[in-house]
Amino acid sequence: MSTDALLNKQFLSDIGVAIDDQTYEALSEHYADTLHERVIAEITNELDEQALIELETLKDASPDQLQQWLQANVPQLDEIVQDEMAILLGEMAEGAEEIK
Amino acid sequence: MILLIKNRTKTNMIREKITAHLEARDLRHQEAQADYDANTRSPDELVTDDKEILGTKAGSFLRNRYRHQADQLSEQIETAEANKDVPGMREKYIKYRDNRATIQSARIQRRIDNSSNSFLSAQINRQRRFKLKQLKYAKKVYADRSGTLESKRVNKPEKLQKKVDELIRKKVDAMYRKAQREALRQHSIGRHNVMKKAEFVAKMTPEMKKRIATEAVLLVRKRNIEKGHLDSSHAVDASLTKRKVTNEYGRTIE
Repeated sequence: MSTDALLNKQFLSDIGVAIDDQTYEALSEHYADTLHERVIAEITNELDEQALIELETLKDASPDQLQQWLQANVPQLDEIVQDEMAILLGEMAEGAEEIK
Repeated sequence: MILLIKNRTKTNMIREKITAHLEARDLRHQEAQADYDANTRSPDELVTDDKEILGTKAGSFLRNRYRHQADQLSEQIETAEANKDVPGMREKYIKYRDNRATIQSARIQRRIDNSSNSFLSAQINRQRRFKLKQLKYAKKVYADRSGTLESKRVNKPEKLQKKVDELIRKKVDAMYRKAQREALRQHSIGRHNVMKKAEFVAKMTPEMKKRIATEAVLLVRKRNIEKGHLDSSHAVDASLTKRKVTNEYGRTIE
């Protein structure tokens, strides 16, 4: 993963965005929510029916168990997460002028 | 006295008539309801019937549809691959959006010219006026937006421009890989049932979705830290303890 993996003030400054703390928090939240939505959509698209049924049973699993399951069942997980991040950051860079 | 008795009798007769009428009406309603219930099936039954009627034809229709989509995606990928080194792709895209309004307008005009029916012609004309108004506005928005984007980009320092261009290039590469994955999925027909997946995602609680996505991101970050791909000084801004992202991803860098 590249150094600009997560949204932070340095990244925003690098693309010429200067915002106050309140806007920054709102933007971070929006970034995280959007990333989650896209990652889960892509993961479920990758899984077959059997795996989806299994995933449903992991409601009460611990974070480690969930990670182990993802590791075993989503071979392209690295690529999926990194691509979704790259797309989101690219979109942010494209619309940097509109972030106030 | 006689008059009073006569009136009472008359009132009773009217009451009896009304009661009889109401009873008859209720009976008719009950019969109608029973008739309706007898002839109405539950949605589940109707869905089953639908499957029985469509059967394999529906299956083959869907397969062909996905195959067609997969072919289209493959073509898009090939075009993207062939043009990935062509400079000015972004500018071309903006130009395309601008030209699209003109193309749509010409298409409507052709429909009017070819229309033989005067009523239809008048109707299309009304649609045209409305569409042209919309297109004019859209064209203005595109022009304003692209103008603003370009002018602001030009006014930026070179370092900033380079960073933005690099991020956009990475985004395009990522979209390309995503399209490839999608194309592969489309080709593996039979393994994926789109409806069932949509149903599954709809049923999943927002908390569960968030947990899975968060753990996925954490896992990838952990692996990258292990590989040494992530610059630890840039990973998380320690001063922003309230930040949601910091809280969620903090566990990885502990």
